[in-house]
Amino acid sequence: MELNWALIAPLFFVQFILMIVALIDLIKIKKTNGPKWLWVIVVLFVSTLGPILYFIIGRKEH
Amino acid sequence: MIKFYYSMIVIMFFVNFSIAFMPYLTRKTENFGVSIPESAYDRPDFKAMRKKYSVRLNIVNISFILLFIAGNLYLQENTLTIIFSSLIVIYLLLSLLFYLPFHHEMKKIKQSEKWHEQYNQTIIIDPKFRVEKLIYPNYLYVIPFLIVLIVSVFTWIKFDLIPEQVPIHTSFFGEVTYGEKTFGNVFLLPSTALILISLFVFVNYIIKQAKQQISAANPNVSRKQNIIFRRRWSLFLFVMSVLLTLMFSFLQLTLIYQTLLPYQEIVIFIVVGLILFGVILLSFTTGQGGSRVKLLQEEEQQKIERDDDRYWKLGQFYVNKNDPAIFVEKRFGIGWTNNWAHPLSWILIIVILGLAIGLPIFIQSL
Repeated sequence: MELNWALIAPLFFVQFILMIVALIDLIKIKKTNGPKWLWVIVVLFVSTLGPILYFIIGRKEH
Repeated sequence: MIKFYYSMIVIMFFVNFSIAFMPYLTRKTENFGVSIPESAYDRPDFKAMRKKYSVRLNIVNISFILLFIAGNLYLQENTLTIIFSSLIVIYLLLSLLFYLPFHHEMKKIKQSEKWHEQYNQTIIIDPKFRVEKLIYPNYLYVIPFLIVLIVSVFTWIKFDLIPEQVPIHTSFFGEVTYGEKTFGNVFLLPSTALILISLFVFVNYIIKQAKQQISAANPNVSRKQNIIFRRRWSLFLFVMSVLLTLMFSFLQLTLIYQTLLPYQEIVIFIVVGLILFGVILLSFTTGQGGSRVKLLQEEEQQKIERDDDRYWKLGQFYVNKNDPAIFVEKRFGIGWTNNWAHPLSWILIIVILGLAIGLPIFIQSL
């Protein structure tokens, strides 16, 4: 079965890369809104929206 | 340093848990992102594939943790952060690299087996499904909300008792950072609790909205399993919100009554332990869509679900224009994901990213 890579690429980017970026950010950041491990679970269990929610309400700038 | 070290191990542990054990936790109607008849799930070759994938990733995980522990002995925290980030990226890429050959192998097997011609392709929709109690209602979250409210009012009343320096951050192993006694700092914990409560309400909503998926081979069992799956996660969310709110309330009270401080670590430890243990227990006892819930089996029917593999790109990304559902169960994983063909998926992402970028700019311009 052929795959439409033009279609996959943006999805791959948004879903997979977003998760990676969120996890790396979680590693680096000192403080989050609420416990860090909770955000790890949200990022891992709720695809796409989890990482986005993390970036909006989970991050805490110092 | 030691705290950083532990939190890295916890992150690695959960990443590994949610990825390496995935083939065992999915629905029994799929293997590596390819739909199969439920009766084929226990085929020896499929079992071997699942085992291979899982063993490989666990070996990677263990060696990475050992590497990290070794690095911890010799390296600075900054270097370690970079190394750890790279390890996570490598781990995730490896997981994909291990997954793809199995996914392709499954596709080949599926083509040669012609299951979807042998079996009667059926799609089962239960019009009464949505009438069932699928989740614990959102109004229950009034309880943690009230707890936050009471604690906030109490803090307000006792404001004078709070010392000039207040802890503004407690890592989950009890490391405390102090800050000035400003209004924002004093009410930091209650406001964080409110953010988390809204997060849980939203996830609860996703659990309710997620698409109905009933296995054609065991419709009655599968239907019940799916309801149990949603209810358990919904209940877990609620219990988690109450536990976290209680923990935050306790931490808030330590601001006012410093005599409570010695108990802080044990309270955090118990709450965190209970929740993390709960996530793992729930994942293993319930499985994706309730696949691991043991119910009285019915006679298996020679039916298979309508083949929707073409909508699951790489078995991971769901793109189906004809499906009005936006939230669906992950195919290869525990939890939920979105239908990328649904316009709302993109609108949500644009709005959310727009807010994320726009809000700070807006706030700065004030």
